[in-house]
Amino acid sequence: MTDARMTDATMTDAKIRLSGIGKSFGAPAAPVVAVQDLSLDIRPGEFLTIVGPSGCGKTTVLNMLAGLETPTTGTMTLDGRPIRGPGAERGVMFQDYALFPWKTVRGNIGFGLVHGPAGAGLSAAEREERVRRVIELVGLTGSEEKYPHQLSGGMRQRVALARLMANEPQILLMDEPLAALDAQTRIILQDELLRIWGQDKPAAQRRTVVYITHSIDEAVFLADRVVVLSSHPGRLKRIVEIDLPRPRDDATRLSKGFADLCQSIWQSIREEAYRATMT
Amino acid sequence: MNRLALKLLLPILLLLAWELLASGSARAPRPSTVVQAAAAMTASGDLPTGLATSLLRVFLGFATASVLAVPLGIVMGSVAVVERNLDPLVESFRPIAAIALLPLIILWLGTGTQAAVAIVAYAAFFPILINTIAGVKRIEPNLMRAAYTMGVGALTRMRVVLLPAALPAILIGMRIGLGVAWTAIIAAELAVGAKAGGQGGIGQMMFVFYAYSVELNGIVVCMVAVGIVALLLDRSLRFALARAVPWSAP
Ligand SMILES: Nc1ncnc2c1ncn2[C@@H]1O[C@H](COP(=O)(O)OP(=O)(O)O)[C@@H](O)[C@H]1O
Ligand SMILES: [Mg+2]
Repeated sequence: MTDARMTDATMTDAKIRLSGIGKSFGAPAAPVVAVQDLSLDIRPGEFLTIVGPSGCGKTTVLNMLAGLETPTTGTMTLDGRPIRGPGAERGVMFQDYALFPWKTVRGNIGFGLVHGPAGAGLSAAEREERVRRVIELVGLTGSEEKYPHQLSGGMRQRVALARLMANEPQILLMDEPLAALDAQTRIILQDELLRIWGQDKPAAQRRTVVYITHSIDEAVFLADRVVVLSSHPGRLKRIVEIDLPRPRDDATRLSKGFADLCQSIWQSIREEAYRATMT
Repeated sequence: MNRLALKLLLPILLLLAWELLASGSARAPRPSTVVQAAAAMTASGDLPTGLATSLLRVFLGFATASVLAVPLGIVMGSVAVVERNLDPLVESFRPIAAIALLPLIILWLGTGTQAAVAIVAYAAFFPILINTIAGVKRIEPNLMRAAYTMGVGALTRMRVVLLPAALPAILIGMRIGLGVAWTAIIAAELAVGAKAGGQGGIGQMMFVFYAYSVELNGIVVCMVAVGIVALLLDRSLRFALARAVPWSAP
């Protein structure tokens, strides 16, 4: 088992640093411990994926990073400053999409540009152009004027993804962003995501991504490092460095290195996964 | 076309039965005498004027109730402390029927339009308030959070997320409130009766028919008119509602 502190000892410039983070819900007398003693440094420009069985606290971790939940114990810093609440530099894609039902696809995607700081300094035409571009990117062209209730689950998920991308945040916090998509679309969007993140660019120009998924393949394909959580309570089980060369593409998906890493991660969670399924 | 005929069949049969059964008595109103009375009351302008007076009162009272209840409901729904402190007050007034306030209101405001508007406002206030509170409380929490993480300020979040998210519930409250308001105005005008004289609305017309001219046909005309107006109010509000919140398709 790898200790987070050991792997990160060489990294002095963490983008986000979690030290001894814990989160409990419910009454103090009978708390539900969702996350326990999580220490982790997220490097600038890193693509970090988090895998773990359902209910192991992944969403809770993401909500804390977003500033939407306060940790019960421990400290969290961003660029060395404590995280006290949400900020537009950290964009979030929610597991339940959180689309505004009264806004069309276009209205949802442009929401942050119109009402938030992401659109500051952009002309109306520039905003429209950016919205149009992300709509095209996620393949929603033709559905611009539809309301969320008129869309399938997969289309809603793409709207949520497009809304996050339109805001171009420095840090992307994504909660199972491709889970509702069919396999082909998922692969296409994984490739797109890596392109947007900047896998062709020097590391210094990349955005920082924290990406939750329940798919081991996806976690390995995208990540610089995979964080494996165990459940009840959610704890750091393992951090796996993914040293597959970039840019990654279909050849990566077929490589032996890729298969070995997936297998290794599967080995470390299979026991818990079986237990969760059988009970 | 066939379905329409089927729908109309029963009412027509009932009207026919009523006409036949009542034709034995000289004073009992019948569909034919009611229609005659309605025509006369319309021609003289009494019926339109009465309806217009009552409707104006309803709209004034309803508008007052909305202006008070919607902001209060939003605050009560979103700030737990305010709700905890105001809820007992709301719940203790809510069961008191608007009509039960009449004696106090007559003493304070007289028997004119002011009093009528106050009664209507009181009646419409509670459904609007309760539905607004419920609507605000039922908002998907991640909607407010999503806007928060996009750096949208608190006041803007209220305006561009909380309000539209609660709007379907608020509009349902207003629709119920308008129905209650119309019921309340008729009851209030009936109770105030002839005192208000020529200023009266449709309810006062009914009172005059009952207490002075003993004109049963006139009373039935008023009742039918009240029912038709209630139906029209509800239908037009339902239509407006569907237009105002196209996203909350049933
Ligand atoms: N608001 C909350 N109140 C109480 N318990 C919660 C709350 N949010 C999450 N939990 C609990 O914390 C645990 C982790 O939940 P979550 O972070 O959603 O897991 P995951 O995203 O990995 O499926 C679960 O046991 C869940 O029931
Ligand atoms: Mg989750």
